Amino acid sequence: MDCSIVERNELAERYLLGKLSPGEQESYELHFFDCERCLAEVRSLQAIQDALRANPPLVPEPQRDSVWIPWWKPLATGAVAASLVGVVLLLRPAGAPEKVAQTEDGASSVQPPAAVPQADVMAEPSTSPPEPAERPVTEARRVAALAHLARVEPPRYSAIVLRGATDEATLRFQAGMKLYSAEDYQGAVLILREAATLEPSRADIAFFLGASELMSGDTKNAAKELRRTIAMGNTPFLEEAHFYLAKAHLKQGDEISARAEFVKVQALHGEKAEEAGEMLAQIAALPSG
Amino acid sequence: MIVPESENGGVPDDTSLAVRIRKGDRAAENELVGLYSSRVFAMAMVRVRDREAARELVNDVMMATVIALRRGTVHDTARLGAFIHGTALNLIHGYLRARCRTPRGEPIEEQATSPDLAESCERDSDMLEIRTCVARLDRQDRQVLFLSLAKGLKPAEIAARLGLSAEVVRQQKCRALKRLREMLAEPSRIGRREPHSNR
Repeated sequence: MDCSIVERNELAERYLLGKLSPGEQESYELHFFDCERCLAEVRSLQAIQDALRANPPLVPEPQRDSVWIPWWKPLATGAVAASLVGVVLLLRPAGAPEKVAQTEDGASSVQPPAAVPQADVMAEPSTSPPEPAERPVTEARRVAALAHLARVEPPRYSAIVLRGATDEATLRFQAGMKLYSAEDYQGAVLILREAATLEPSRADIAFFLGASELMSGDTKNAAKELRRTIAMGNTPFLEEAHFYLAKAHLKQGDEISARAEFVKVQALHGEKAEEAGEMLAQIAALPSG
Repeated sequence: MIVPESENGGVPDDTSLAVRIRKGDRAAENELVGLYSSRVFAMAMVRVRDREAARELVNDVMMATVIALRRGTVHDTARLGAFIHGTALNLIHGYLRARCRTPRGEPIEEQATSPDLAESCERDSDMLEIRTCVARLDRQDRQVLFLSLAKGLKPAEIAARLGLSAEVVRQQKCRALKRLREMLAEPSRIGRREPHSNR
């Protein structure tokens, strides 16, 4: 390996982000052990990364994943609804007026004819126009925002080369994690389940099984495995298990449980505390349902 | 004698350093620590993602290396870097294995870290300088760097978040990093006292 390869392939950056294969990682380390220039590069990027993480800038949420609703749409929807009601009322026989009212949940309803002057009936839609239509729009925004918050990156896994005799569960775990690293989460689930059966008390197996299930869309089983990881107590996977359990809750649309898990992540003051804080802030900013 | 760095700024031969350590030269030991501790620290930080643990690991790695050199058990003394890297890998793997099985918060083994060693790894003042420089960047520069270096997003993904084109993101990132390097290279800033300047 030489500096031109390092530069061309952005190895320093990918190394810091844990995006190199174990072989590349080792080769790159051996290179910067012998190269002052590359060592300086990796150290400065590492320091910049730390500084950015310590004081992250506010970043807008991606727009492509959310339902963009123009500001005028609720008004327009209300106006259309009002016009329709008006048209219906105008077309109705003059002797049978009906009052348009709102039920408790905000939906429009048509009440039986009553002794109400027609002028009042005609005024009703224009005095309270957007209410009935706004509620589904808000709900749609909320669902879209929740779906966005539920998006999840797979937990990072760095393969560890163990020397000496390796037990069966570890062999299965390593095989499962190879599939996990290749983003074959369903394949990983099958093998990690075998590993978990052989070694049910290992937090790393339970955690990555939960993570694989989460990534493959099985949120129910993911939550189960992540809870099992948490139940194992103060393991190195405790914080991440709470974090990804929160994500599983969000995927299920259960923001209250998700919030509780994020609070627990914050209380652990680990690497995910900051991200959990951001998530809590975003949950708090969700449109009210 | 330590020969000058190679063209790529590398460390060509450590034989003389090894010989001096074998003879009991304490200054040579300090030189070795000054030379390699930041390398091991950079590596340990990436692999264990825990600053305190990384510092302890640097201590362990340098100690193991010095002991091996004193005893003369290092065969290829011309390439001490490879030996230290291998030692670091073994100790890091051992640490990660222990961490998987040790409850969080329970210290694996209490060992004093010498102040000099911590100083060689990184300095708090440097971190402060870097934070100050990062804070001086434009908001969008910080956003681009944050999404790229801290979140690991690709230019196209960053572009979607910030409403820019991927090409603009690439250019902005290059410019921001260049600006940071220029700021950090200012005489009053980081790099005044490089631990390996004795090479």
